[in-house]
Amino acid sequence: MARQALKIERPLDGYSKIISKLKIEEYQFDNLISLAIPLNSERKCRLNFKKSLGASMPNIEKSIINKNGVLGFRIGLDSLFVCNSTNFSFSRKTVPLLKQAFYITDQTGGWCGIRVEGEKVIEMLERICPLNLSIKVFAIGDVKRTIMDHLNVIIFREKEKKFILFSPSSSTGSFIKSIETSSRNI
Amino acid sequence: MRNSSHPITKKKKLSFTFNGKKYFGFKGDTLASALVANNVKTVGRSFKYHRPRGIFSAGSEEPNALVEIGKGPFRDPNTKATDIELFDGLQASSQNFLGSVNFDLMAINDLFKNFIGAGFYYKTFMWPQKFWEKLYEPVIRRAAGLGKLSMEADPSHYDKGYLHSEFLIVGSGISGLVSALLLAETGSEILLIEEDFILGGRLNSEKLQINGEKSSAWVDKTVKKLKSFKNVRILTRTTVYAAFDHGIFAALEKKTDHISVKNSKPRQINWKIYTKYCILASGALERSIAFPNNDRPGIMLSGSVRTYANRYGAHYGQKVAVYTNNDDGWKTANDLKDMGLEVKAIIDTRKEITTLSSNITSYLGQTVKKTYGRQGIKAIELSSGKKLNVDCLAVSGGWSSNIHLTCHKRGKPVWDNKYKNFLSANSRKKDDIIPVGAAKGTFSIQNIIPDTNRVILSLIKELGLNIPKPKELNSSREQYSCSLDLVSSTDPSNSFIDLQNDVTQKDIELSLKEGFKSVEHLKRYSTLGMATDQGKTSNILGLASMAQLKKTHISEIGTTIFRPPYVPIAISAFAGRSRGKDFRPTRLTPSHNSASKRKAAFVEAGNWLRAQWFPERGETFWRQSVDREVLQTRSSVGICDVTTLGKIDIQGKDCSDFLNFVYTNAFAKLPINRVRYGLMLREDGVAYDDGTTARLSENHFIMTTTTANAALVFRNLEFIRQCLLPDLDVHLISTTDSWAQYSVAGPNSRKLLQKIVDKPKEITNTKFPFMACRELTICGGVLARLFRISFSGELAYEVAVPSQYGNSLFNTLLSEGKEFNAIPYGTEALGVMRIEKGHPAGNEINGQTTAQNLGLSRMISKKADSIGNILSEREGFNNPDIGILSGFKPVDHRQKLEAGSHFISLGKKPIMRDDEGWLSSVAFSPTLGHYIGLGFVKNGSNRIGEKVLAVNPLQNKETEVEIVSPHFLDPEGIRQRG
Repeated sequence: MARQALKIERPLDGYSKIISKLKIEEYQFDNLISLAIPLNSERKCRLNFKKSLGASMPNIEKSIINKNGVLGFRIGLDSLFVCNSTNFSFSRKTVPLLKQAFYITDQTGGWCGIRVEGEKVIEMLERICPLNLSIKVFAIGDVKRTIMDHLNVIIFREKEKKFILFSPSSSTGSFIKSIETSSRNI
Repeated sequence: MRNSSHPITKKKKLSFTFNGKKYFGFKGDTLASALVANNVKTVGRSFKYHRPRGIFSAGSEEPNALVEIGKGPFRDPNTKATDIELFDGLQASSQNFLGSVNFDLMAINDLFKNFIGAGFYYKTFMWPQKFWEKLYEPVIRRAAGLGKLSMEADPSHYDKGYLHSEFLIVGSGISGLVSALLLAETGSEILLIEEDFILGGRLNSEKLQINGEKSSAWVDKTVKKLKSFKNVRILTRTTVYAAFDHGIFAALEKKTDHISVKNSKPRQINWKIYTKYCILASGALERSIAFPNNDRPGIMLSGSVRTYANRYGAHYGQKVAVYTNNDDGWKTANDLKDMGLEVKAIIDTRKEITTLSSNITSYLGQTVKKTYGRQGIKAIELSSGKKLNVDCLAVSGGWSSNIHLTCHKRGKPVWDNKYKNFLSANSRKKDDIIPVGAAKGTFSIQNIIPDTNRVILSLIKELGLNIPKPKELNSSREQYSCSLDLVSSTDPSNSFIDLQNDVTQKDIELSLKEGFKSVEHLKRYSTLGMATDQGKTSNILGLASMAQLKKTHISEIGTTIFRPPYVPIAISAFAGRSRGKDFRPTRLTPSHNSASKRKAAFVEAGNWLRAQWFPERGETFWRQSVDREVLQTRSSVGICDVTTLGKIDIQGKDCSDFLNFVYTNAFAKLPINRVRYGLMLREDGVAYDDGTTARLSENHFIMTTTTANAALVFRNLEFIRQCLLPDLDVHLISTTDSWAQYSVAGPNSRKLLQKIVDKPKEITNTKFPFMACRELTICGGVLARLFRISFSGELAYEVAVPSQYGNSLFNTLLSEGKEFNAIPYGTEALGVMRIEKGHPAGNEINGQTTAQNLGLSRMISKKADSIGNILSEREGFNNPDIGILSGFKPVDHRQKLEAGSHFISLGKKPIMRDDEGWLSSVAFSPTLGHYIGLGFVKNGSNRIGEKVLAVNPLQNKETEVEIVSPHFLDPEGIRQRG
């Protein structure tokens, strides 16, 4: 066996900056898994989700946060993500339960989370995000998959002026640059 | 000259230069208004004849006053002086002259005007034919034209953005503001966009009263009120320049053009606007009248003269005349008179009207026959012979509704005979543009207010929104009627229709004579309505002239429709921030940082940056590094980051049926923990992509694709899943970014891996043979996937870990591999080794080759259907004479091979007819000590040992090569199975 254990390296290495009074920081998580709903198994999956996470399975483009702080969001008819950013023993307890109903794919290393927050966050996001982020249209807890600056991004609204953006880890350097540029340009 | 009592004179004084001379203006001026106030009449030279030209209008319709602003790389040519907001230190200069703007040597063209009309160049410079591109065209282009680019990269930066609204209001004149007030009350999201740097449109230019106060004061109050609504967003200095389908509009916001000391903010922002309804309150544009020498500096549009006087307190000289065919010209005369100027006369083409001014001399039913003053108008002569000395002639040919945006959506304009104007013919549909005010053809303020209220309230009612109560607005009364007297025919060659393109009435006549009768042909033949102003002030004149010549009514002539953009947009604004390295995103592999520390050379592979080779001390040439990496890997062990290969997680009860359909070969019977090579075809039977697919469990496969095709293959699989096989239980997720994957290749690869896997005995040759795979743990419990596959032909593995461990694993492999002299290798060595082994890659599977070409026809299942299966049976694909993937080596081993060379049989001439195939990939093989290549040659498998010529006409090179097996190394596969 190798003498050294492998080390985890985060895509943005704990990045945190304030630009134009906007707080931009890496949103760190221990697990991000995708759940696929097998054909004609919506009901079974809803029951399993409730049992596994103690919260109702969200509808499309909606999210839940359970009592342990686990964030679940649904981005399509048969596709959900579950993100655990707490010390909660997620891999050991919850994933095996979820596997009983869903097809599970670990995506922890595939995505990078970036949290953006501030009074002018909408003005910053409208430089890269084609979605209508009006609170009437995209409410707190809403989630959508979209494209920002050519990159695949999942956007989640935590509060009126606070968002988490998930983008592929390989291109996260370009994405953070894009966010920084947008913040400077407002 | 400036009216010293005008409020603008109380504002901050600004200095600027024009053609190197220093002038002063005030905050709130445009460059044009400041030049008018400084009595600068000749601002530029005309496009073709180099005639002196002055400021003609007061907005983005300006055809004449095109100037260059800025210096060096910041130089911005063809900028309308009427659009430039004055700032301290502005540097502007005239363009398109030889000498000085007041003494332009190229004005000699004007003397030959009668010989160089429309179409002259194309009809004259026909012989000798080859002179056109080399001599005639360059000379003509130098002689005529607009401003010059700096030829340097634009150092300013630009941005893009997205805006959303329920109602987009274009224009903030009276109809725009009335619309905004009503719609704001409904609580809907409103976006009000104004091209000018202040809101109010023509209300700022008129001496109108609303509710007993000056119209500009009413604008201020209204804007303040609108700003108090949270649901109203206002953008000034922004032009909506294009309308597209589905409620999408494009707008350009000028952010820092008006700031003297540039900050770090973008110069301009190109907005993409999504809206449900567009209220078009873009007003109307005034048109001119064509009469002899109607282009002299000091001849201006009447409404613009009024704007300069009322809004900026600026005017040319003291003596003014107004030449009009409508009531609006009289308003200019009255305003100028009130300002204290000497209005010499109003010349109205109409006979049967009541004068609208009691104290100004008027000449009814007359025209302007002549004008005097080359560098600036000095006098005019009327059709009656009366001569008047003037400093400025205000001309009004009536107003045209500004319906450009409706045309962008193919709305063909219709003629309104009442106001002699083209209107939008759009019917009201959900995403349609809704014109109001002058854009709708309603021209007097007392009519615009109630009509806009009616239109907007009707829309609000239709949408079921809260119906607000319109505010009572009492306004001044305006009078407007118009005739169609637009063209005088006394001197056609000097009567300008289109000032920007030097199109005269004579050019229209010539166009008709030559048979270019339709408006579309007229436009192309004469260039009427082209260039930066897009004929905003000239199109109606052109049509009227054509109607007069054809002795028909203007409504019978029709009109061309306007296309985007409404105003010129800099290419940089379209590019936004996507310039240079930011043109597209960059993807980095998990080991990128470690590779950088090892001074790897990187290569772009799609969006990825991949390590190409890793130079070591003393290596000065790339081949030294690559040869070393190949030899070291083949003799011991090398590690290559192959994370970029597409990885697709396929799960579901029906995934084996799904794979059977997408691959030509069967996967249903692939045992768990085994890998199989698969080939995909397009529906037309041509090879699409290849890769290996591993089965981790009964219902779980991992597919790999080529790096270049990863996204395309995934998209294609989703299409098949969702559209072709929707009843299958299959789920796809791209895991390319989720797993870091390394090729560990070479005879010592197993020994190295046994140092890091937690259970080394699980990967012995017996337990883990060639094409095996499994999930296991490494380095003390980290989940990993191990695949025994080989691209190099060596004993090789690919080991994958979750990406967050990727860099650490790369370093661990190298540190644990020290005892074997393990080295990292890059894509060049990877490429060399795959050519040595005879594996096809992107050069071979290039969208033009088939399974038969690749020698893989046996992989196409004869039992089950799959995509491309049937069309792969085509006769042409199975002809024995097709090109077959073969190996090639130079007969003289010292010779180099060139990829792209074509094969010709010995003794034949290198001509297309005798082309027998091409060399697709070449490399220097350090293992064999000479160049080798892969390629396709007719009937290749039966020609082993034959010699052919590899001809490269581009490099004028011919190399004799021998056709050999594509497997240069270990054709039996002993190494990879060892």
